[in-house]
Amino acid sequence: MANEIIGAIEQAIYLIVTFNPELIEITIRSLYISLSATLIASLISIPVGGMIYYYDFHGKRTLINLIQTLYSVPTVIVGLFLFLLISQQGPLGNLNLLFTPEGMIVGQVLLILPILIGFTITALIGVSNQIKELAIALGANAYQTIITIVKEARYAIMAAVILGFGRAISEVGVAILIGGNIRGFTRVFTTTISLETSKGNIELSIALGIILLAIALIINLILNYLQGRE
Amino acid sequence: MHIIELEKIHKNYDDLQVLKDVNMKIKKGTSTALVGPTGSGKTVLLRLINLLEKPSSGTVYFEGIDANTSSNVRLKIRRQMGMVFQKPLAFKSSVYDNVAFGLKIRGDKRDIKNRIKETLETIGLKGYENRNALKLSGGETQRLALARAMITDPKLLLLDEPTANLDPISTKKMEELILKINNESETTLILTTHNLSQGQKLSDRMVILNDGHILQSGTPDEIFRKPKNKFVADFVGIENVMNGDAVGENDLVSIKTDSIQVFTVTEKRGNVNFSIRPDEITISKLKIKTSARNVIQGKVQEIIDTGSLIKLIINAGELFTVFITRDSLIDLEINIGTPVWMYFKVSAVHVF
Amino acid sequence: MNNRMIAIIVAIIIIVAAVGVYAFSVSNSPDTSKLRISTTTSLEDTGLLKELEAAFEKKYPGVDVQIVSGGTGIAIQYGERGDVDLMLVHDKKREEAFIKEGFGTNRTEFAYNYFWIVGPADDPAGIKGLNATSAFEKIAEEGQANPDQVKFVSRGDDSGTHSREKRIWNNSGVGYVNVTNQTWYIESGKGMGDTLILANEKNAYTLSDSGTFLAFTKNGKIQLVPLVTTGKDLLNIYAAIPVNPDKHPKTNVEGANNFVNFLVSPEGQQIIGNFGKQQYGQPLFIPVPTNPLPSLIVPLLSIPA
Repeated sequence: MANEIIGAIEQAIYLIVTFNPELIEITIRSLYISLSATLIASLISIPVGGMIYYYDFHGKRTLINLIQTLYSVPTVIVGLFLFLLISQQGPLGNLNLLFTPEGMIVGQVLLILPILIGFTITALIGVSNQIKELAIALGANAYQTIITIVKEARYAIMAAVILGFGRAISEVGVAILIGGNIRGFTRVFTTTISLETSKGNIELSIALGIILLAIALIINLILNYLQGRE
Repeated sequence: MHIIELEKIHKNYDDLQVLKDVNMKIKKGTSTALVGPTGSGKTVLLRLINLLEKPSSGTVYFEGIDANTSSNVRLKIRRQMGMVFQKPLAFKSSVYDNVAFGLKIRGDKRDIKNRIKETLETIGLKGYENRNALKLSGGETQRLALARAMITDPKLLLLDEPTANLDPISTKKMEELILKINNESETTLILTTHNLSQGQKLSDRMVILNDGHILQSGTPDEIFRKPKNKFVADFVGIENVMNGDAVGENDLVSIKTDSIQVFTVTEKRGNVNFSIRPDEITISKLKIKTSARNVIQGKVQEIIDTGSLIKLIINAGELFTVFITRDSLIDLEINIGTPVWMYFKVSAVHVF
Repeated sequence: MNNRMIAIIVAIIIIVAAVGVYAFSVSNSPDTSKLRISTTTSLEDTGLLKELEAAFEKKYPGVDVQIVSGGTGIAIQYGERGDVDLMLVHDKKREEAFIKEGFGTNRTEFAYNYFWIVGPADDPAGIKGLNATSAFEKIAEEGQANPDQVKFVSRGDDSGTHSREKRIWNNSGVGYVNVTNQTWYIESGKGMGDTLILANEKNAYTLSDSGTFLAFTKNGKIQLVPLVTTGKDLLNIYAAIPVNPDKHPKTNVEGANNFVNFLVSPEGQQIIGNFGKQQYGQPLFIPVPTNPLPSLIVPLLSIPA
């Protein structure tokens, strides 16, 4: 058993250091899809989170509870919901999003939006109320105040964005249901890992797993570096 | 026209009444100190003037306009004010960005670099532009806060206990800056302080507050000479006058009387008279850690109920007068003969 | 609420409306540059389709073949919903129903092989040499008597393989309904690979397509051996069904028909017939050049010694 694992890791490293084309292609595609999803989700969730944080309105607490509940929504549920929406039979079938990378991006955006919005709100609440008052006292309007608080909370928000990216790149429900795991088109880390494992092709799975871990490590190093500069 | 007019202001937090029927008019170009003990309502009053809070009832007028009619009006008026909070605060960015904040949000970017440079020079932070604002000392941060509020040339500058969290040297610098603004600019100034002598030093009008009421307002002279009621009299009353020899090399000197030694900042040497404001002395039964330089033990010799506050005469070789509230008297379980510790800052000692 | 917030809300409404209008106005004509094929895992996982796809794309440049693989159940679902242009599956009954309901135009058989009943080398139920139905009867009988020694792992996932397993139980004297609640009968609910690994762990029998089984024994991942490998009950026919453009106007009919014709062309048939020879020492699929399948089928795959 131990030999099997060591052997698989050896072969995995061989695939990586020789720049196995399939491995590189899947890596680039996974990054493209999940980074795009994270970027779009951030562009939506930071202003939305800012508004929910700033304004007091009826049902605010309930809304935040709902968002937090959605953190743990199973990825296959999001995938299935979107599949029914964008399948040719679905109301948005004409968008031709099913089995495309763009469809996967939409799915991952939906998947990580709650986490990003929720953690943005938490990050903003973490900024002292005195800073919020300072901005207001210095003449900031609502929009400028939110921007100021977001800037104050930038590292916490960045951590939320990275967490969202982590969920996006490691999820399999949307990738398989919306992407369809089409070789050379929508095949990404997680779908390849589950496919190759079920085919008994453990080496490629481990190689992809190592790359995933390496990406996580690099991202964390960047985050630490940024926080260190603070 | 008055720059600020408060009409029948009441402010409640749930059941707690913090301001009761406050009426006040403030002339342009003047400097006003809102003075009162902690919890007297002076900070809330300042926040109402800055339109950070709305009165429960009553009206705030700015240059004759009802200031609380809409959030747009509030914003427009607030942009003609500057505010410095009690706690030294800075945004997580450079000194430059901190000072530029008010200008940028007003869309006023003309000659911004030079204006910031000049303002930083004025407040004694020359060349600090690229420093991380979070790494400044408390005194520097508070001066930065002043610069940040001043740079927009506000018609009204509000300072909430601007030196409460500062060491004596920073306090002195800050007071000098405030005086400079008061003398050299058209800006109207309102500041709060619990320290009477600071109020006297920095303002041409004083408003004495206690328990949400305005007890008296007038020039410092009027207040000191003709206290309207016993609270003001007690509050402003000059007590604790002593005599001793001042010795020391730098600004910080020690003054020795026959029985005690106190520290203060003064240029005077030799035999001096000095006083310690009763409102600057805090007491405890057990010795506590404090930033106050002067820590003296004594025994309670007399307990006098003045009606509004409890006056304690404490014998520490010299006789000290200290005011405490009735609640504190009960909490501390003080009786005649009880040994207590007294604490007061270097800045509480006034040499003359 | 200030003006800016109202502006933001209005902007969001406009964007949503624009997406909606776009969704309903995009042309309904098929995109011939893409050919979408839903298929069963066994065709994709063995790598056969990868080779067929490469050859087809070479022949028809400008057409991107996109293959979505899953169990036969979901593969047919995709066809019914119009999400693919062509299906390559192996479940005759459901295929015929699909066409009868008007979702597919026609059914073209292009390859076959055999399902294998595989199990532990010591064959505790003693099924070697039996036909498929007798083997299942024997497994049920021994499993009942000796549930610790004799076990059976089922896909249990509504796939073509699972569908076939049900049919064999029903053709035997046992009946599918009578086995599902038995202790010796285990449902994996997973793909063929995972099911084989589970059967290997449990020392159990299972029904597998030959291709996946060979791939797993080749690299030593499992120690199970094939025990029953021929017979009518185990015949596994793969068929291609283009999706009916009457139901789904955006279907790429031209591409689907080209692919079907390619599958039964001499070139396609050669690829199918040779596939796996090099890697496994024997072909994994037998081509079907003409339609319908000849009634006489010779067992081609020999049991490895």
